[in-house]
Amino acid sequence: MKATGRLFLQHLAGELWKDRFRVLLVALGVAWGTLSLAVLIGFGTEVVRRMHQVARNSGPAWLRFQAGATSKAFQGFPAGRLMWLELRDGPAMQASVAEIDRVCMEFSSGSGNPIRYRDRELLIPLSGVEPEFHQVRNFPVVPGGRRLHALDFRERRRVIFLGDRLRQRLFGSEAAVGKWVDLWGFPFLVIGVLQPRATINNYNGEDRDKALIPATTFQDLRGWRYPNFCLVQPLPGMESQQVVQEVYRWLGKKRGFDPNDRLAYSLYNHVETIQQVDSMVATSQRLNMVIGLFALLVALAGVANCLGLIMEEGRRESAVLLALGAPPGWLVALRIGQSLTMTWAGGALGLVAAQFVLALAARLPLEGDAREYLGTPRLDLLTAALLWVVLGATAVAFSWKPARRAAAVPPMTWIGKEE
Amino acid sequence: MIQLQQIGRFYRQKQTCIQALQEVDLQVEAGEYVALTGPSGSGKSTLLHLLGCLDRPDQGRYFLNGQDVRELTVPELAKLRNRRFGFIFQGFHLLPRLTAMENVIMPMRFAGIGGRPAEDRAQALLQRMKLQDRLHHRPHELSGGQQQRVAIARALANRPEILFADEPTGNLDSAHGHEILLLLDEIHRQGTTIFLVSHDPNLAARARRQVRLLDGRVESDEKGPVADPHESLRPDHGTGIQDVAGES
Repeated sequence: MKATGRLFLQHLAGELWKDRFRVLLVALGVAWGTLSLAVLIGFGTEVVRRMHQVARNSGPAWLRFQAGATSKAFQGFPAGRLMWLELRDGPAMQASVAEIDRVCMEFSSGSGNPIRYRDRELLIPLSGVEPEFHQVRNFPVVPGGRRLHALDFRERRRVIFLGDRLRQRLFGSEAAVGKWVDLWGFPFLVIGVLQPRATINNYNGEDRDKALIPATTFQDLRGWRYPNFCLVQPLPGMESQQVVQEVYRWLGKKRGFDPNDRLAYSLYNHVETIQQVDSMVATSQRLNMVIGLFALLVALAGVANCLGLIMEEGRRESAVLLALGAPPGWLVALRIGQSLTMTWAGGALGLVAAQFVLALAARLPLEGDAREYLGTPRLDLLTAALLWVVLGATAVAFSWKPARRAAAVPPMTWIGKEE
Repeated sequence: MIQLQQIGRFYRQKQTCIQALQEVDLQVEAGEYVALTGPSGSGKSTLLHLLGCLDRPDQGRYFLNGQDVRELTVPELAKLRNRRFGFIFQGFHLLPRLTAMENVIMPMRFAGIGGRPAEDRAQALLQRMKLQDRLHHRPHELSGGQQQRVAIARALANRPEILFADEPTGNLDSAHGHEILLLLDEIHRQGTTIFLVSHDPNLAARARRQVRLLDGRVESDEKGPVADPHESLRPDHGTGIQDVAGES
C-alpha cells in the first residue's frame, strides 16, 4: 500500500512535470477565475453588508408626510385646498392608528440659518424636532453628549444638537458639548453631537451638516405654527403600505379630504427605499457572482480541455501501465489527482492573490464616504474553504468520466497501434 | 494451462468488418515455448494480446488454468497480468520518466512489493541483464538493446508464469536481437511458458512449437526440435545469465 502510494505520487509528479507548461497555464487560468470570483465575493459581501447598514443609518423604517394641496373635490370641498400639519397631530395620530410605533413632527427651515461660535459664522440647515426624532431618524449621540429629550421640549429650552460635520466646521478640534453658540442671534447650549454615519437618505441638507433644536423652541423663535413634516415609524413587522393607508385615512378624516388623494399630503416611504436598495445590491451581488462563476467555469473548462489532451497523449503510457497490472482505479486516481493538483494549485494561487488584492483595496485611500459604502472587503475563511471545495468538486466532476473511460479501454487498444 | 475455443476477434471500420481472428482453437501446456508466426496482418499480434488479456475476444472462450477469463472483471484482469504474465513489446514501452531500476520496480509495486525487497530484486534482474552500470539511467539514455533488456527485466519482475514477447527483436539490430533471443531461451529453460510473435521463420524456429496463422486462422500447429538447441549454451553466444527469472 505504501509502495503503491509512493509510486502514485512519483507518477503524479512526473505527469505534472512532463506537462509543466500546460499545467502552469491551466493553473493560472484557474487562479484568474478564482481571483475574480473571490474578489467579487469579498467586495460584494462587504458592499451588501455596508449598504444594508447605510440604508438603515437614517432610521430603520419611517414614512415622511408633507402637507400639500388636495387634488380631488371631497364632500363639498373643492380641489386645491391647502393642507397642514400641527404639533398636536402627533399624539392624536398615535392614539388613533394602531399600526404606528412613533410619530414625530419636524419644522425645517432650509439651509440659511445663521449660527456663530466665537468668530466662526455659518449658514446651516436647521430642524425643530420632537424628542422621538432621534429614534425615528436614528441620530445617535457621540459619548459625552446627549440627545434632545422631553424636558427640552416641554420647557422650550435653547439647546442645540449638532451634526458631526457641522461641529467640525464650527469648533474645529475643540469639544463642542457644553459650549454656547449663537443661533439667529440667540444663545444656544450645545448638548450633543451626532455620531458620524453615512446615510443614503437626507432631506433639507445632510444630517451631518444639520442642527436640531426642540420643536417648541423653534416655534417660539421663528413664530411658525405648522410643522413641515410628520415622521411616522410603523410598528416592527408592519407592512408600510398598510400604515400609509391608515395614516391617509386618519388625516383624510381629520382634514376632510379623500384618503385616496395622495397629493393632499405627499409621501416619502423610507421602508420602500431600503427594500429597493437591498434588492438593487442583492441583484448586483448575484450579477457579480454570475460573472465570477463564468470566469471560473472558463478556467475549469481549460482544466477539462488540458486533462483531455493529457489523457489523449498519455493513453499509450496508460495502456502500458494497465498491461503491467496497474489497477484501473489507480489510473483513474492518477488522472483525477492531476486534475485536482492543477485546480487546487491554481485555486490556492487565486485565493492568495485575492487576499492580496482585497488587502490592497482595504488600504486604498478613498475620497468622501466611499469607504463607508464599500467597507473593508475581505475574504473570510469559510468562503475560501467553500471555494476550495467547489473547485475540487468541479475538477473531479470534469475528470471523472474521461479518466474512467481511459482506464476501462483494453490496453491493447493503444499498445497495438504502434506497429 | 491455456485453452482457446473458437476464438474470434473483429474490428469494425466504418461499414466494413475486419476479421482479425476466426475460430482459433489452441491448447498450450505449462513450460511450452510457442512461436506465433505468419505474414503481416495474419492476426498473430492480436492473438498474443488476447492470450495476454490485453484485449478481449468477440467470440469463443479462453480458459486459463480452467478459469474462463471472460468472467474476470477489469481489476481482476489487471491483477492477472501483473502477477502471472510478463510482456515484452517490440517498442519496449518503458516509462520514459523512470530510470531502469524504477521501470523494473513498477510492476512489483502494483503487486504490493515495495522498498528494499523490490529494489534488491530489480537490481539483481538488471545485473543479470548486464545492466548493472545503467541502473539509474532513463530509457532515452540507453541503447535499443539495453532498453529491451530493461523491458525483459521488468517482464520478469513478478516471476511470471507466462511471458509474451511481441516481435521483441523487431526494433533491434541483429547483434542485439540475437542477445535478446538467447535471453528468452534461458528464461524458457527455467520453466517459464513463452509466447513469441515473429514474422521471421528463422526466429520462430527457436521455439519448439510453431503456430502459423494466415488470415486470422490457424494454418498449422507444429511441434519440432529447436533450430539449434545448444546455441544458447555455447560460450561465444551465451548470455552468461543464469537463473534469469529465478530468485535473486
